[in-house]
Amino acid sequence: MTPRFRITKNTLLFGGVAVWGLLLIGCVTVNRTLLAPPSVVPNAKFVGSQECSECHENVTSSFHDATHANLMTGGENALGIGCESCHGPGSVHVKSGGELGTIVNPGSSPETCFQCHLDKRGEFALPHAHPVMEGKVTCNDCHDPHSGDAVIGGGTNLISADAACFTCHEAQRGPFVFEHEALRENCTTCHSPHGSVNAKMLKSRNQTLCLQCHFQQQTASGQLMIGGRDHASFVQRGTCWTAGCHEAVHGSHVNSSLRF
Amino acid sequence: MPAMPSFRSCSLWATLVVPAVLCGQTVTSSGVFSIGAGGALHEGDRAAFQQMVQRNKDAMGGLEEYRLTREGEDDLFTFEARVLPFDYDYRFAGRYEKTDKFYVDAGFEQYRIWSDGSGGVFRPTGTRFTLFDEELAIDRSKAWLEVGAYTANQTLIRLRYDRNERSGTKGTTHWGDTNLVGAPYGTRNIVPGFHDIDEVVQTISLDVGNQSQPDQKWNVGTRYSETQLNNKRYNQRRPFESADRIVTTKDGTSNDIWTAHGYYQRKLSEQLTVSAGALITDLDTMISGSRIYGATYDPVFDPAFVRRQARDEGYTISMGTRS
Repeated sequence: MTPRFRITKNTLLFGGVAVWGLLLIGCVTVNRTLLAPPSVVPNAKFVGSQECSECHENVTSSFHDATHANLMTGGENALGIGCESCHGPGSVHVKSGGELGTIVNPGSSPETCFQCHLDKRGEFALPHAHPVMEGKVTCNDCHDPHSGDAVIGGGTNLISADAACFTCHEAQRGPFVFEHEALRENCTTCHSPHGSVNAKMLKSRNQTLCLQCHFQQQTASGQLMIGGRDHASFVQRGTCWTAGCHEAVHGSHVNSSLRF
Repeated sequence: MPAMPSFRSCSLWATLVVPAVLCGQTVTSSGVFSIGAGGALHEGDRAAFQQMVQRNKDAMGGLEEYRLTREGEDDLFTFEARVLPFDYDYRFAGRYEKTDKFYVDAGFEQYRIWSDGSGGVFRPTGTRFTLFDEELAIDRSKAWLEVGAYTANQTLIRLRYDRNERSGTKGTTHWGDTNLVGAPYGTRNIVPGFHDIDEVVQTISLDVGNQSQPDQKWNVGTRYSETQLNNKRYNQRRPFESADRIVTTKDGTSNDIWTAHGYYQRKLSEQLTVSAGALITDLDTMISGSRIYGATYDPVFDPAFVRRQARDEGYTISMGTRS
């Protein structure tokens, strides 16, 4: 005889009591604040962003249009939703007059960011990633948490969506005589900037990457028509950009097909 | 005529005098330093290990962190350093500021990005090539100097110089081809290549602005930036075959960018802020490069190169300007 699971009144009653009991035990026994940054400064308490603006007005004055400002809310119960979401409770910092070591400074550590953006920790752990976990690159090198869009550029901004990338990757900036239009979209058309299983942080491997965009309606079996030419016999030998083919993937000064 | 003091003697005087001057003040000093050392016992592909963990395989260590703060009545001096010679990881940064008067901020930092130069592997036959030392690395360095001065109404005049460098070698997915994978597979692109990177970007900027007023902010400035790229990529095609040849692709780019910018922002009420800005940019680019087949890295173009095959296309002495 195979036992069958049925939802009955007794199941709901006893199940509900059990879940309520677990929650109650959790609330009583866990003595730290959940869903908030760890208090690395002993005995510090939340004081609210207003206190921060007394000294850091140059930062707080432009915070209203920051992406992270969307998380802001008012009221006594939301004192910790603001500067102290990332910098930790600041009472000791305020009391000491801004003494060093009395506040969390996430500028050089990604751990504060990972508290909310946990998926990025996983991406940075992939085989090909920017060296954030090694401390050589920080989140702030590409993102601005204090003003404007956290993802720099794009949208209605006057700078391109690639601006953050070109800060370090100067050779890809151009200008090129023959550009690869994908760069107008963003470097993220081809690259996963936080990490990837593929070399060069590519979103996809080999010719699969290029075929995301470069495909057209096939009219005969066995053909792979790209740019009016059958590429079926080419793509099985390697990637589109390996020797002798479309090497200048970011743009070319000499060839409109980005040959080299 | 007395001889000019040498740079070395000036440095010595500065080293002796500055601490004496600082000690003469009523200051509070605090700091922290930490040192560490370690290493890795590893068996296997060393280049792959270094790329994965971004650490030198043999040993690591040195001065991980050094911070010094000297706080006076109306000034603040901070200095921080990191010296990890085995990882080629250095940082020196100092700042001295006289409250509401002026500040000087300068520093240098460098770190190394390790790269694995191995090419692909053809799984059906386990074929792969090792043609050069695959432990590749690029050093990134940054140096800066910034001087700022405040006027009586807190208008800031700021002059800054930045120099960013990137040099070394790194792997590439521009793999060469081979026929040595055995029948019936034919030509496969699994032969490793590498980049030789040499990039320098220098920027100098001057800004004047005032951010201290609650209802209005303004700034005008200008910036000049010069970029020099001298990058190369080396690919070997058909190694150990009769058609063995090396392709050297050079990219020389020189950019001069000059910009002038300004903005004004006025807060009329809690609900209404008006702002305006303008920017002008002038860009001059000079490009040069070549793609040459030869028997060695960096060959001189030889139209009679005997191993040249059909469709071995390239170009030489491409140079031009664009504005």
